[in-house]
Amino acid sequence: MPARPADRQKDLTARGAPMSGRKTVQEYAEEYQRLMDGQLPPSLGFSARLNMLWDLAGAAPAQSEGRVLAILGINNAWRESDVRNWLQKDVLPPRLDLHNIVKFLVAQLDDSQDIARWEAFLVYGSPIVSSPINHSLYRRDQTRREIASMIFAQITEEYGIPPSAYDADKVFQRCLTLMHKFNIYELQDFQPGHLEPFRNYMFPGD
Amino acid sequence: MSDLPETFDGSAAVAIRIDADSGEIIDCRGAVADLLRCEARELAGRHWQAALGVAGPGGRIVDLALQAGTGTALPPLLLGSDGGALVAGGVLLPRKQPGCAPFTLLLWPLAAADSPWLAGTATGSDAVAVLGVDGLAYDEHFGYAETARLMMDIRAGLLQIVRAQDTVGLPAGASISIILRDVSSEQAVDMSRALLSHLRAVLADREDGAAHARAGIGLAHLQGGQDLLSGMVAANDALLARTGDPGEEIHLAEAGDFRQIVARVVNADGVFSGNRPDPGQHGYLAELTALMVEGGRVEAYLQQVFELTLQQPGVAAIGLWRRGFDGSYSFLAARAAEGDGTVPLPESKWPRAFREGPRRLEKGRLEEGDELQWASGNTALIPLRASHGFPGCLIIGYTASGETGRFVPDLYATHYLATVLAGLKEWRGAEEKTYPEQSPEARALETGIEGYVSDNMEGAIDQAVFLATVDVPVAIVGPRGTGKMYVARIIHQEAGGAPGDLVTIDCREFRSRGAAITRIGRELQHSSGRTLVFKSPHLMHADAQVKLARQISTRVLADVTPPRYLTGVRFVALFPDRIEHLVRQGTLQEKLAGVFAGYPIRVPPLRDRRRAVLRWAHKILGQECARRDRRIIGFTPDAEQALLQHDWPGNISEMRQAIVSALDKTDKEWVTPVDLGIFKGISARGAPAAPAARPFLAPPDEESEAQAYTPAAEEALKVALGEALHTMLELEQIRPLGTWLDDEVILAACERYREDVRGAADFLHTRPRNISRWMPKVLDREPERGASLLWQESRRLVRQWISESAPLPQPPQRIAQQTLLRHVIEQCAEVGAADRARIMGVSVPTYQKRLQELQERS
Repeated sequence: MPARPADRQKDLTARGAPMSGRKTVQEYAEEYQRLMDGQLPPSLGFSARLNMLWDLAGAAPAQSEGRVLAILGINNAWRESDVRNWLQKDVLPPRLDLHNIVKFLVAQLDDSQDIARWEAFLVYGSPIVSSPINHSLYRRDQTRREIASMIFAQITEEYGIPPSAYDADKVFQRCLTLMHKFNIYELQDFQPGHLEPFRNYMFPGD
Repeated sequence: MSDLPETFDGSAAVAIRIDADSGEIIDCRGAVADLLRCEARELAGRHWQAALGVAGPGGRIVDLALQAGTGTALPPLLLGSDGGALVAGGVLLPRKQPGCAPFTLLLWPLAAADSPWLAGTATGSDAVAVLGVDGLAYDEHFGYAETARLMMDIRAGLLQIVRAQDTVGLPAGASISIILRDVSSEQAVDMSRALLSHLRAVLADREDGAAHARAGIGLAHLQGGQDLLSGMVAANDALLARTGDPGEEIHLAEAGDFRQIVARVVNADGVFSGNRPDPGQHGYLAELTALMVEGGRVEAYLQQVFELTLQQPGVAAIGLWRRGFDGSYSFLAARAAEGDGTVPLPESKWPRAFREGPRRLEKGRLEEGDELQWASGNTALIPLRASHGFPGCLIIGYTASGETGRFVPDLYATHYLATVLAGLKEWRGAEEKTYPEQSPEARALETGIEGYVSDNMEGAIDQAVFLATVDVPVAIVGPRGTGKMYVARIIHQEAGGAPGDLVTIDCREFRSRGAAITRIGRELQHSSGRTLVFKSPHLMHADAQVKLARQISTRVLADVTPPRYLTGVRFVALFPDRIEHLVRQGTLQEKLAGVFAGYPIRVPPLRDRRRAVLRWAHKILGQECARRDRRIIGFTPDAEQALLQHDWPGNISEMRQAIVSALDKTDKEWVTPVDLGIFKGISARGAPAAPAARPFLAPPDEESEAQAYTPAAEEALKVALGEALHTMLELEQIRPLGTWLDDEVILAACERYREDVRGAADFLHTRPRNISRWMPKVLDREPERGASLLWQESRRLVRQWISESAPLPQPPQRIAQQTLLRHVIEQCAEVGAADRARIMGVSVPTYQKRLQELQERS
């Protein structure tokens, strides 16, 4: 049975701990020493994700066509061995370099993307960080876009929402996002009960 | 001289006077020799229980009735044993002077072991079920005849779902017997639940005396050596024990209460009720119900019916008129006896009475009655009445000789014939709206489902399509049977790869580091434009993993000079578990994990894709039907319910296995839960079982992914074998589990290697010719293994274990046998060596030898 707070307080007081019941600095220090890692855990898949972002950005040729040398051409302050480690051995670049690489590559993408999210995604991967690629996926999925159009049309008709009351592009993206969350992949997945939550999410101000 | 009245002498009953104090028989009268197989004088002075040979529950019933000391109706009693056993109905008559006068017990025969309706045999592994309908209400519009019709409809419903090897008896009162062949008790209960659920359509929406009818089943699993008759009595007792009104506790007296009371009293004997097809008609009815409607053709079916009827006493000619929607009749066919055979009877040769028949039919409102009419002295008009109308009328011409002994089809036969004809599409064709189809409400098979039935696998396909556009090694992670290879194909196709350029490298096959490195090196050399799919690369030697990782991450081919880039190649790896998990287990090298950990595709198990379950089932059923060139309407609603509720631990592979096995078992046009062998979610009341209540908002699962524990297939198999053995011992049955285990391992190895017999043989540490030698017997035992419910989990896990394992250091059969033997040692302390050997499927000396080897090893 775990010790009751009052008992724990009594124990700590007996050892000279403050009455507040918190651990002493010494205890924290010991715990820190016990828990600390000697080196960072490997960031499995970092290189693959970084290569994927380079692929998407299209700012350097494929790996088998001289990507390392091309990247060195973009910033000659980097060393070739470092770049190879980043692209092939899951070694993380210094924090500032990582930030600048991601900022540069995201700038090459068509849509406005969240740089911080891409940085986090490169380091930790999915599912720790939800993929910033989903947005791109939706754009490619014609079938789902057609279903989204029908949902969009039905909701505006059902609730009498005039075109002047919304930004169509933004509402459309919200519809696609919610479809993804609700696993709606075909028309029969959409039920009458979905109308209300979709209306609320797509037109939050109404 | 007996004090009992002489009137008993000419009856089929026996009256027995029993002394209230000693229980001795004072005297008896009636059909003593027929019923009790002895002379009346032999019984005098003997105790009633020994004299009547009534033991077990029947003896207790009579004993307690005697103690109650009042007039009582008795349930069917089993008298005697073995071949001389019979079932008797009985009543204890009220005494003149309660307390001192002797009891009078009246018994009459209900059934004997050689009764025609008990024809057939049952073995120790069979179960006897008695289905009874309770809650009927009798009056002048609904009585014996309507009950008979209802029960024939129920029988037809039962035949739609039972397996080919099961036997469904003819109705008796409001009951029907069913013999379920070779089933465990648990399986019999599941099947009974499925039968009741299926019958809800027959009993639903009725407005007659069956409006409140409920079906129930009494079930008895035959114990060692128990005969069919005693099993039938036990099942009938089980049915009668459950019969009662489960309605409101308080019931206000109604004028119509007698209707339920009389129906219950009339049918109180259950399956031994005297209201059954006449013994003289039994053979005809049995043959009639066995006739097959080939291809749904009316003409061919009628010819069989006519020929059968023309064999009956006194029948010289027979014809059939079809009744139209407007009440008019049209001649369909007729046939007459000629010599030893039969010939069609053209209109020009009709007897005069036949010619008059249609006129009588159209003038008189024949269908209002149910009785036959005599058109002349030797021609009978017999209306065919089904539950949903009058499809037609039979006319039978008899030979001129007297009326006695003439065969007239009874109510059961005419109702059956009417129902069959009304259900034929060709018959219904003319009057589509008149008669509903008698098939279950199977949902039409969905056809033309392409690819992953629009089941996006919760985003897996989207992700695959996206990853096909970038140059990233892809990991596809998911349990066995979820369709990882399909996702790999999507990537290959979306990337523009030709079908022949998808190369699968099964890393479970590599027996050594060298074999892995050589094969992979060879594939990489010719990899341009291809997609290389590595199945379970974590099972390769660590060196081979690291070398592969280096080549993929640098895209440079190893061991060639000058260095050569790997261009235009896609790398896909299939993993059964999360990458981090495999690294923690120590099987997957960190370097290879890093290569594939970029953006893994997770394919969720089928249980997490419920909305895809039915569409998958329809797709697989469609594929399998096409492969076998069979017409299947689809799944019954209960089968769909069971499919939805099942957990599918083996995912789509398991579903395919279940459907293939179901198609092997049935020749019907729909698939039922009984065929599939899954019963989860099926309620005896017919309504789908309510899903487990889930909170609308649930906190995230606190168990972290790192802590989640999934046992390996081998561990799970060990547990499942222990459970199978335990269940088997509880059922007091011996099954050759060791032999079955060997069979499953062999089949699983062959399934894994498909056409490659040598590969399977290598895996089993044997020669290919041995597999060919074993296979006939392995396949012979398949029905036995497939029918055993206790074996199914072990069967699934053997396949999973064999499918997921790298080549094993010793024959997998030996590993499996040792696991089973350990369970036998632990659980079979009370079982003799001979039976243990039977469980292991070997001779006693072989069992002792294996036992000794195992003990020496441990």
